[in-house]
Amino acid sequence: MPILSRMLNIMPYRCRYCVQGFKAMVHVSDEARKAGLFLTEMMKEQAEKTPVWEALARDDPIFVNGFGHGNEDTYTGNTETPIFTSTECDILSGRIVYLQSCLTAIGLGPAVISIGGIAYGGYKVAWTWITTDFTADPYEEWYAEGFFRSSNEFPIALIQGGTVRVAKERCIEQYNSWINIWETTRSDDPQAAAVIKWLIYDRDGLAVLGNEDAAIVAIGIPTIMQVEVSPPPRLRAREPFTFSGALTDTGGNPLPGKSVNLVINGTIATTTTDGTGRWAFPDMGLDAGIYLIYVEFRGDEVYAPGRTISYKVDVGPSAIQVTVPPPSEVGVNEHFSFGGVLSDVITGAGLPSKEVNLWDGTTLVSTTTTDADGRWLLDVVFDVAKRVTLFAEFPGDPEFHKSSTPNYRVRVGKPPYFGKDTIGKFTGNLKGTLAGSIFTAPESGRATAIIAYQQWFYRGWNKCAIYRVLRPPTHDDPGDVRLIGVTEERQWKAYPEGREGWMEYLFPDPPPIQAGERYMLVQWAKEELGSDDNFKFGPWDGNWYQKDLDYNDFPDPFVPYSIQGTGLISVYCEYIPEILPEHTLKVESSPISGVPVKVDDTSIGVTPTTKKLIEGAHKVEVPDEVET
Amino acid sequence: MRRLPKGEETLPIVEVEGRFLTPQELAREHLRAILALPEIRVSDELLIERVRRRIAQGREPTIYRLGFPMVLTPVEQLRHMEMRDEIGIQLIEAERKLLEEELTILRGG
Repeated sequence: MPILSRMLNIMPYRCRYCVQGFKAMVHVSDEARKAGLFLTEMMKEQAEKTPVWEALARDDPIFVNGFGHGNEDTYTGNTETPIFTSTECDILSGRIVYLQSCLTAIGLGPAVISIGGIAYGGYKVAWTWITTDFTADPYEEWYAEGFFRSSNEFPIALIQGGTVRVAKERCIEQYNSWINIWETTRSDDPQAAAVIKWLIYDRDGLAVLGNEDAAIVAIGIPTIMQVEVSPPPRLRAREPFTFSGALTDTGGNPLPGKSVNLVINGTIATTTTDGTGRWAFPDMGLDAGIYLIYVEFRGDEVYAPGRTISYKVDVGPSAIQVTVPPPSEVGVNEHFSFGGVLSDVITGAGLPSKEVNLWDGTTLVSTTTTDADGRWLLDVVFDVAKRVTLFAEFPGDPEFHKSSTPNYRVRVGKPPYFGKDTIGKFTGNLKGTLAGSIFTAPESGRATAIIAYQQWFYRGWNKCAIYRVLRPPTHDDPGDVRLIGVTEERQWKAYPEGREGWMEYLFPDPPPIQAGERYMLVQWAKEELGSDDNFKFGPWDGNWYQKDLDYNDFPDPFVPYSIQGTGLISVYCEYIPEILPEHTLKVESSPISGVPVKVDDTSIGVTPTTKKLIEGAHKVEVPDEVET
Repeated sequence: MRRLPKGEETLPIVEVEGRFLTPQELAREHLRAILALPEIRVSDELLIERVRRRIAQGREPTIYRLGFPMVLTPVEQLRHMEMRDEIGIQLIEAERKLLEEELTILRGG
């Protein structure tokens, strides 16, 4: 059951819009602290799905307040991965939610209420504002302040003890008062009409669902949890430390005999305050790891809950540094070195006799042990031409927690490929467009990467996919093009100058390809902030296929919207040759037999029947109805 | 005292016999009669024209949104309105509400 007088603020910081929202959210946090609420702030990289859900499960706040991008069914934080969606929001059951985001009151809001959320405040429009300085605190920016102060009034009213209904009324009233300001004292400003227009738009876009009589603040005398001795930010493993303080009311009067909890990464220890209201957790010791520690009083019939701030404690921190980076290109069977130093962050000393593992993505390549000075050196060799993503990792032990190097992309040899490896003359735009060309695999194996020539302006994301072409699309026939593999997604940044080049996209799960079969290599992009991302094609050496579609999961099958005869796209697929295993397909039917079966548009007889097939995607067809 | 934001008096508020008329262009008695009507219907074209003129006067700024597209310059706003796509319809309705607000001010409300 979510706990009253607790709230969680989601404060992303990933783009300039979020930065301004972040600064506005700080004012909400200030109000929460002033009111003595138990506040969890999920800032910057913490404003993502996993940390937010973990914090909700751990701290169980009644109120969730967030700023960020969104659409009808999705609310995102510091990355594009949604924090809440209409189908994944059960963690909000029993809570009151306010999201300053676009359109979420249309789908996400009703979904929250349907899974047991108490109330939901949000917007059924794209929340819009005007500003001239994204770096400014919006409370001090001439045009932005009315927008952000008005929206913030909703959570602030709740923090100050109002019901959801009061919060809605105060929020609307705040919008109205700013509209009035721009119609009176600021009406000579050239942008006044536009400011009024968008304040009205946001005001009328506010939607509140659920129980409007609900509130977030517990009834009772407010309490203060004072800290006398706080945990240090860094400790050696099992190094003793003490966390102590006192519980008082707001008048400073001690509260003796109260049960208080020490919470360490969700695990709770309990003690009781002494005659002077003091509490202490002495001689604590922790294994290596990163911990979030606080002490809380959960409240009783007379007193409201209180808690300390959260302290982040890094126990047994280690650092792995690279002194010998791997080369970006090596030959097949050519040895190369990858090395560095593993050290104790507190003393700076090297850590001897520690295991260091070399990984290629999720595959363990080799292992070594640090020397007396903490140095490690890996001798690496690959016997197959391919691209690898290498990093070294100390896996951690009870004394020191794990640390790892950055990723290094290495091309081993020149992997065989099929496709087009020359730069096309013409330029196409990938904005909201899937674009691909069809090529034939010369031999069987597993596709390891798609390499595409692209141009980037500002910032966005790309990913690629490979489709098996069972029947190529024509102007009269959508064809039959089936998805068999999706690459990693990569972010690009090119600001202020654009850049271009061949970009590699690795398959985390390399799909099988067969000699002589046709495959469509498709790329897709999501640009941010009016960015652009282009591909190259042509001239006049084949077709490219296109479909306008908002960036999401790759469609299966791929049905192109148009076929352009102006040229092949500059994209190719690298693979590792391999004799693919055969599997036996067995098709039976009941209660009748003799049903005709087709595999990849070719008859394989009638049921019961079998067919040996090479591993990969195949199309099996039986008629919907048969005559008996 | 609420008043029309500066420059808004130069934008049309009503269409009469195919002409878009501003408060300045309407004779005072005509303006009073129009404002006395319980409802003034305005076309999308009139609303688009208001934005076009406001842009020409440098009074329609770039707007920022928490959804895609996250930024709309004045020219992009106008293009969406002229195309009457999903975003354009939102922009037209926003302008309609602003005009309703301004008519309330003109009525002395």
